[in-house]
Amino acid sequence: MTRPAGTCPNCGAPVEFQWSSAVQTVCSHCRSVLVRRDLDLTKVGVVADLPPEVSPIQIGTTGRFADAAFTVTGRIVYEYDAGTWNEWHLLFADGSSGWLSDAQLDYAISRPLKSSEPLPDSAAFTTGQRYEWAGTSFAVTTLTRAHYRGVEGDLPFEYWDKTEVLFVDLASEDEQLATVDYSEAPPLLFAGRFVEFDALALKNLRPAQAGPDVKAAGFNCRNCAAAIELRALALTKTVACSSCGAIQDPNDPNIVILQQAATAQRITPTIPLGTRGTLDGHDTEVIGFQRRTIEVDDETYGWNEYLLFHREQGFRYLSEYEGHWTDIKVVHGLPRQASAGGKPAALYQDQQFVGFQTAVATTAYVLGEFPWRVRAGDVATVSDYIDPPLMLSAERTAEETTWSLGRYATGAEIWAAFKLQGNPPPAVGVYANQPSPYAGRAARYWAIFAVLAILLLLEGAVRMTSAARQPVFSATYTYQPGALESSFVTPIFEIGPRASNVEVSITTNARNNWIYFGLALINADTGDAYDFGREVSYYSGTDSDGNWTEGSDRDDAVLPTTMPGRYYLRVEPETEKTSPPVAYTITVRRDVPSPLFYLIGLVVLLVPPVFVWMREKGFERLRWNESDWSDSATDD
Amino acid sequence: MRGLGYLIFGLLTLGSAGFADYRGWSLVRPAEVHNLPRSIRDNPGSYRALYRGSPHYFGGK
Repeated sequence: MTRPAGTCPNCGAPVEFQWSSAVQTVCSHCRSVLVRRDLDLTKVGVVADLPPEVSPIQIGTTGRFADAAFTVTGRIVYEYDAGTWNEWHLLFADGSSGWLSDAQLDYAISRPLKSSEPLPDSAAFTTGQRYEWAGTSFAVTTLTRAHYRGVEGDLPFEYWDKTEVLFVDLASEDEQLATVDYSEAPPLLFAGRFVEFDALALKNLRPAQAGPDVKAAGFNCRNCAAAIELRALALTKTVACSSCGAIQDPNDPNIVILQQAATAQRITPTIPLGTRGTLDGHDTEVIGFQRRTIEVDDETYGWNEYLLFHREQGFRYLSEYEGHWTDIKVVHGLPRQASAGGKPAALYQDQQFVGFQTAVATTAYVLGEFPWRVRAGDVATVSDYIDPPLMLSAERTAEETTWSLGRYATGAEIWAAFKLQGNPPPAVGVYANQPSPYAGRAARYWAIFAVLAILLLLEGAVRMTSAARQPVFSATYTYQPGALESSFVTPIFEIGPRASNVEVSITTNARNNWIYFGLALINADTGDAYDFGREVSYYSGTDSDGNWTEGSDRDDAVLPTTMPGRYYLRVEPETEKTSPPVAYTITVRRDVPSPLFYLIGLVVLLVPPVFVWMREKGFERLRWNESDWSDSATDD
Repeated sequence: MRGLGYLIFGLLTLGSAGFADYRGWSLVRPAEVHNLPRSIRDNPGSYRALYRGSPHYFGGK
């Protein structure tokens, strides 16, 4: 492919465009902005000094997005309240254009999108308003008035004479974005998605030490003259002196003190500023610290937040509360409000987070660097939604709402990540997004219980159908009340071939009568015996309610494990002397199954899952006791 | 691995329940008498039941 080339009309240096459709470039020698019109190059302006660069991206960086390779050919630099950001122009392999937005190391790729309807007037946009483009619903997140700061490299259009530009940023639930760019008339619409740095597989990045990185890599505190080192360089908007606590703006040429130390009390961060560690395989450094507090029921609760910085991955946060840690990253998708069991909830990427607490958080103490203008006394309304070990948080100020996603970490994990000395502070109580050690365990136990209960049922059923119930003796006798001697012994019978229980059942013809049997099952060889008795009584009649019966004309007794051998029964019946003769049949069976042990087994099997279930519930009760939505809170 | 202990415990419980039933175990035992004389077969009236008139064992179903 032939690239358009020429010489700079200002300084005569050779100029070559990166691709055939490029319209504008910047002379690398004299910084003239050159526009290609027909075959001529025309100087239309000069680029002023660009702000110090902290982005790892540079012209010539290559990468991939959605399986398409791209090369960075140019950029537009904007400045806004929170700092500067780059719009890197991407030339894809198929010749199409895209833009890689790099704002404080948050990355997003977008492409021009044709809107079927005219885009609204900029005054029509308000935060939260929804629009649908290309089948995706977007909500307005921010309206940014940015100042054009300059250009670099090749662009597909003329862009050099801008001053103030309005951008309306919108986001979807699944991290897609849309931007309405009012730098042109009619406005332009871009759509794309937020991306992780690693996902772009970028190559040919700007070396960390190259370029005029640093406006002030360090300076002396205006208040106490202590040396202050800047680790996030130009991204740092405020820095709190670690010696005196004075908050200062390092970007101000005079380094103005923004706020004196708000409190005489010094707080020593558990993780010292400057500590380097590795989280998720990425090196990171602690550059900022703040103590934040909330008031709940007239009690003040405080937690620590650490700001972590990585040159390519950007910023992330660590929160610390009584030995509990959460690793937090800002998310760009827009969670949807929902409800779950009477509690508020947020849906984020098809995951439901249940509302835990909403409170006004106040910054009580700051130390180190921050990429935003932080002050002691700053307030924000913080809403936490949990799905342990994750916590989705919304931090609302008058200007914006920032969503972040945190993952619970133990003190041991943090200590290992930052190679800290000693032992981490012990975790106190149960934290909002602390994963329950019992989570899912009760369900697993109940599942196992179901299997075991079925097996137990089958075992019992097999036993009930396969038990011998072997009759070993049966005889019918008649008892004559008033006889001189009522006791007698049965013939000897065999019980065996193995040890088993023995059931002795007695059936009588007793009617409105009772008969008691003194019984002994005696081993004929050893003389060992089981001594027991049964009473059979059966009454019936008629009264005003109709027919009635009471008792039964039969009864039985089950004797426990009886060894095989020769046995006989000694029987001694007894009833009223005036009773008529009573006929009865005694039947002896061995190996008669009983459901008793299977029922006991079922109860025993229930113990572990019930125990784990109670522990799980107890853990969750402790968690939700701290919530706005605890039972006690909702009772109030 | 969580739940494996419970599974093993459960299988042991199943085995114990089946074994107890197979062997005819009981939670209560009737009174036991040892070394009764063989003469009881010839003279049943000479045996005195331990719980005569006061049956303590009702291991019925």
